[in-house]
Amino acid sequence: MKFKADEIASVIKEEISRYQAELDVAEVGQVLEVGDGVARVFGLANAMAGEMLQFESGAVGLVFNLEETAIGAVVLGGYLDIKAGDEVRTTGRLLSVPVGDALVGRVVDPLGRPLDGRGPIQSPHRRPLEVIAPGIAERQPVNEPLQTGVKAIDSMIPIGRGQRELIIGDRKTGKTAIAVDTILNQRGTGVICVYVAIGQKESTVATIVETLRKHDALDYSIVVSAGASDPAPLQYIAPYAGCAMAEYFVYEHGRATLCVYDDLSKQAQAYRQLSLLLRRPPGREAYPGDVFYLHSRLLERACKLAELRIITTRNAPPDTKAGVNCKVYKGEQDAAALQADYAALSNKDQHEIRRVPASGGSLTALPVIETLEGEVSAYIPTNVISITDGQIYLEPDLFFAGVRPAVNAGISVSRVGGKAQVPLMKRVAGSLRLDLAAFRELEAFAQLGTELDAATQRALDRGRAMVELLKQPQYEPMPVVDQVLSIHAGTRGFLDDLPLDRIRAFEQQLLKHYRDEFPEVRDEVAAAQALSDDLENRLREIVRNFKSAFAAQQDG
Amino acid sequence: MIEILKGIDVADVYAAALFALAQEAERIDDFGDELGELAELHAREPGFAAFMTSSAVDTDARRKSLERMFRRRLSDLVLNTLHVMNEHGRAGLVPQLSRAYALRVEDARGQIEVTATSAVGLDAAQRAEVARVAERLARKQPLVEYVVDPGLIGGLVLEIGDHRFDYSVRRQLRTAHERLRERGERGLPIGAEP
Repeated sequence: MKFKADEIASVIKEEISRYQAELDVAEVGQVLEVGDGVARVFGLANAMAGEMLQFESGAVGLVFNLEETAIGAVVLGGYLDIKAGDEVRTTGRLLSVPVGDALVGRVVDPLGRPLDGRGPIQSPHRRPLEVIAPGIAERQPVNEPLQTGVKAIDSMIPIGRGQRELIIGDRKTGKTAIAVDTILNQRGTGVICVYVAIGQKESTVATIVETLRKHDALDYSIVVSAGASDPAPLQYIAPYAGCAMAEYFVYEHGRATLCVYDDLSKQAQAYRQLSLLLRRPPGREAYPGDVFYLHSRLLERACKLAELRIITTRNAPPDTKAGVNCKVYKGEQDAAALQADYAALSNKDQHEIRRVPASGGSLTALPVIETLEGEVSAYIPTNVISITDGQIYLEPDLFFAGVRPAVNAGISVSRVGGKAQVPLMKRVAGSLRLDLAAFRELEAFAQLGTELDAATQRALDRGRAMVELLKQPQYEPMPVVDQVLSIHAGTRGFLDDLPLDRIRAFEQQLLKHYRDEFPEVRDEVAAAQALSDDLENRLREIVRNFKSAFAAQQDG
Repeated sequence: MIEILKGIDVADVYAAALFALAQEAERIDDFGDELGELAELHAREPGFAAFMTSSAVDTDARRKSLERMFRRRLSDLVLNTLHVMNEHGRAGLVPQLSRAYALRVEDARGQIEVTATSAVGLDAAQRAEVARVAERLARKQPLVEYVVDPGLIGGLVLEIGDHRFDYSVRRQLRTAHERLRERGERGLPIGAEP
């Protein structure tokens, strides 16, 4: 960007011409002590909890503790310039961050300051960091899928838009990989993605940003980073900042958004540090008493907002906000009334039902929690498991056995996503999760080396084939149609007698076969609302024919 | 200045007790003066400050020394307060006690400390005007301290309790500076109001 000297001069001129001497009234206190990112400030008797403070050095603080003669505040950013005796002013404002389209494609810190060296972020919009989550009336049930592009997840643990699905596992089990794949898979869907890195190595964040850039995913993503070297207060506010940035698109534009908080255990640790330094009493694992609220108020902000619908004439301009009958129908509760009113119209063909723009946005949250030695019953994991609408559990044993993504199908669940799953996928993969869980048990039993009956052997073969089929390399999210076709081949038993090391090649060539030879079947599958017997038979026929060709090719 | 704020909440408890006794004895000003002298001694004599604060001096020894030093030089009630504080390990809070006591006296008399800072010295008429304004703002009788700070460039700063009313040229320039910077962050388009 080139600065024009005369433009700047005219801005200054305008400021000067409008300039009028104002009496500056402020409440002023003094820093009693400062260190480790927290400060105690004397005075400021009228300060409010959560209010923003302005330090003399330019740093910004946040009121945490209100005591009799002093307040405890956390310092956001550099606290090293603050000295005892420095002046502190209240601002009367809550902490807010810049939001808006200007942030998309950028890497910022939790205060919205650019970290990517691509110039200042100029946005006229700001949103407060902490907002109360929408209530019951503003929401509607999750009904649209959010495709992760990962076969193992979209088939067995489907995620809906507005859901909160926890990704949990030990270190190095591919938690971030799933989150990043999900972001990559949102290309072309209009979903805005926010990736919040909390307490991670700067090098890791740089790699993720580079991955997003390489796959053109940065065009619809915002990366918020509070690295391991950033002070605890920044790590603490990072998820709220990322959430606020996503909420702008949800509330102002009715868009679907995805927020990845990677990871919340680090945020809880940062909050524990702050709380202990501010001398709040420690509880279990030395976390403060309100650590549950720390995560619940964040994740509760994930939502599917109720869609507002109106009846308009067909040629009404697209930004019409009032219906012909002056009624606005909100979400599910008014769905029946809407249909009744529409049916009652005498000239239906000239009218249509429309969604009010900027309504019905959604914020899907993918919080990440790192466990220690698979200990899911630790304090923070149990808290977040109980808050979220399901969890994807990743296991190191599976990971090192080459099953990647290392999703443990037995204890991973999605409590609301099933409603949002693509109907065909639901039919094809219906019992897959339970079958795989049963397979794991059988497998353990079979290791005893006993003679197995034919049925058990078949179940084992099917299980092994499905595990092999659900393996998927990183950064290769798969369109949902391909997933349906590939899992269809698996669950209908076509892979059972193939050697395990040929399954991946079989799948790839089968999908290519569908693409090249039967694009119309593929389109039909993509559009189908239910799996008809006819479609089922045709699919079986295609796979059967392909399989014999594949076998011939292998032999030859 | 900042040191005196640490522990003032503790000292205030003793100040409240002493003030109540002073009211009964009708010797509010006498006690205030004595505490003021003690605080000054504390500030002036490092030896006295060390003697009062050091944990190397045990309670008993300090009690005897206090008795020797101050009996018949201080009012009995003030000396007794020192003894009580000594026994509770709070002997080091004498300056805070003096300050807290002074604040209690002011509060009881409906007075408030005001600092008026200006770039140049004020004449009597200006001072009277400042006191009048301060009284209107604070709705209490102001005890104005006049400070000259050329760094303000011009104008006046009134500090009343926690509140600061800043009408100095320095603040105006800073505000203008901040506003221009914020404007830069928002973007250049002219005339676009936030």
